[in-house]
Amino acid sequence: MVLLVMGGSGSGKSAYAEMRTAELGKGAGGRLLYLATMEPYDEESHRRIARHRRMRKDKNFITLECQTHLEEVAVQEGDTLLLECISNLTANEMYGSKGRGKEAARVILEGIRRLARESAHLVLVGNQVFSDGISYDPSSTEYLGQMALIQREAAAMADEAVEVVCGIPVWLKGGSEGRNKMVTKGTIILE
Amino acid sequence: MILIVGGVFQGKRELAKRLWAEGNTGEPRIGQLLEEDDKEADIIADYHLYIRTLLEQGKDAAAKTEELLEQNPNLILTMAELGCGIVPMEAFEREWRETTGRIGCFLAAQAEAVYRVSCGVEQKIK
Repeated sequence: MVLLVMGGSGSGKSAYAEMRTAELGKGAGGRLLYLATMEPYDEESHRRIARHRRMRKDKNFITLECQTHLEEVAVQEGDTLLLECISNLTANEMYGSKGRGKEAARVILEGIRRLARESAHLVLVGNQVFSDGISYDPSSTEYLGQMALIQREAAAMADEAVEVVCGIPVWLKGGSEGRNKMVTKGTIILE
Repeated sequence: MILIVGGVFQGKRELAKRLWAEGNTGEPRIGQLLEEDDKEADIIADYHLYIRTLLEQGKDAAAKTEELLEQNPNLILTMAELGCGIVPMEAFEREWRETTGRIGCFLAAQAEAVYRVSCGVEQKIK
């Protein structure tokens, strides 16, 4: 199955996506693969990456670096994949030295479709960045458009699409009562 | 505690007053934690702005949040959703929206009910 997890920054979408991926993986019996897309470029991005690594430390994920070229990721039948996230991948494909520029949305969608076919489950993390009422320069607008296209197509092919709000799943598509559980934490993890 | 989130100007405070009036008579006391005795208020509005102030002062927003809930476990809290835009250029702005988001997740986990308001219409999401 394909699950699209949307949310804003700090919404708890990653923790929710990890929880669901681990559950799906248990059922499938194969490997849990984490497709990491963030290119570390400064101290803050290193901190972000470290925070995410700590979050999934005990969940038995195998991390594969996938900053561009989603189509080259080797998967096996029965694998459960978590791709985090569409916004980083789009930025890397559009602006990175190894990226495909204007072809970003097309190549990423091809990659996503193949992964969906070849794996047991595919969980995609998207980013809700379209509601700040700001007009950006042409390059950023192009980025928003490509990312939005990928997320719309991903939602169309997904069995379930969900927006995470303060850690709570709010369903956009599919979903069932039993899936309504949220990630509960007793403490606030800021770093 | 009841948590109300949503964009700015969407009717969060109106909903807070409405929910308060369901079990109470008179007018609720609304605070923004600008004064020390605001902690006793029935409704605490714009919690995201309080978080910003704490960050500006270099204080531990997470610890202050836990303290507030211990002191006033029955309050209604409103807080704007800040995370649904392009990542800001300024490091402090990024820290503010990230911290507000994480504290929002914590508050939602503790809350007996969570509402999201858009165009004045609420959705009970927990």
